[in-house]
Amino acid sequence: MSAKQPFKPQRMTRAHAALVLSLLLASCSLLESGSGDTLEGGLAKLRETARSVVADPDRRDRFLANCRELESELLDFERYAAEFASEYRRAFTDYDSDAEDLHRLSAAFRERQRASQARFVELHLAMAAAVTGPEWQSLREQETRIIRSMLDAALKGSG
Amino acid sequence: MRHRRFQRGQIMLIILGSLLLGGGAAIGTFASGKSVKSLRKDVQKMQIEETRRNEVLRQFDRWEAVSGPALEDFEAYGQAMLELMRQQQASTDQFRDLMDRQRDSARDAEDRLLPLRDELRATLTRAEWDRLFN
Repeated sequence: MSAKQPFKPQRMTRAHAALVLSLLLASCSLLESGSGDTLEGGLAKLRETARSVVADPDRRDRFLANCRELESELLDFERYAAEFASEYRRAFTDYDSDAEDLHRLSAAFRERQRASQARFVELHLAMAAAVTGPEWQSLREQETRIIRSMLDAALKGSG
Repeated sequence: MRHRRFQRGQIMLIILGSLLLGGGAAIGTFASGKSVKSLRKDVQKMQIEETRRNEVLRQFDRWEAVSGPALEDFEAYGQAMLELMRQQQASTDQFRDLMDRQRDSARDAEDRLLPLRDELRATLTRAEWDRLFN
């Protein structure tokens, strides 16, 4: 695979199907293991916790606004990452691709990954700064639970 | 419908966990859609000469020797990230340092895995490669 050889639609479809299939299988193993967390559910619980523990309306609104932005950033990144994973897999399983092709794809991805991670940290720190220490004690448990779910899901899905 | 939405939610977590938390695409099943264990089984079933089959299996041993520790690193960085997130006073620099090291680790794993992929490609014919991966 190189710039001179555009992706073949048929193979792109097959690679995408393979990615979706393997992720579905991984998600089935999570279902069997009883993990009940989703990003959507986790963030809803985080907002619910904030509404009940952050007494000051201004600080609560600031926390919730950053939380909404965090969700939006995560969803944007997930869409980009899913496309990247599909494209990388197509290239990886293509006999005509070489290491240079794959390095090029990864390098472009890492730039976006770096930007999304920076934004993720910025929003996380803004959320932490909006609340008091005791409020943070309650909220951090919910937020780290979301990240732990991502980490567990990734490790189980890594086969 | 609810099950499908939940499953989609789990897929999102896998993608976000694998790629936002610093994992690279070259490790685990993200790269080929199959684990090394599964690739090994498929090669055992393929009609190829014993010498080449053994060579491929040796290559998979080396593949696992890179991807195993890379996954352990990924988990360790993830745990460190969780610990940092719990600290209300953690700084941007602390996060940046951790994430830079995560990305470097993933890139290092990829740098070592891709030459192994090239070796595998040189060992198999195009038809065998396509049977294995597609």
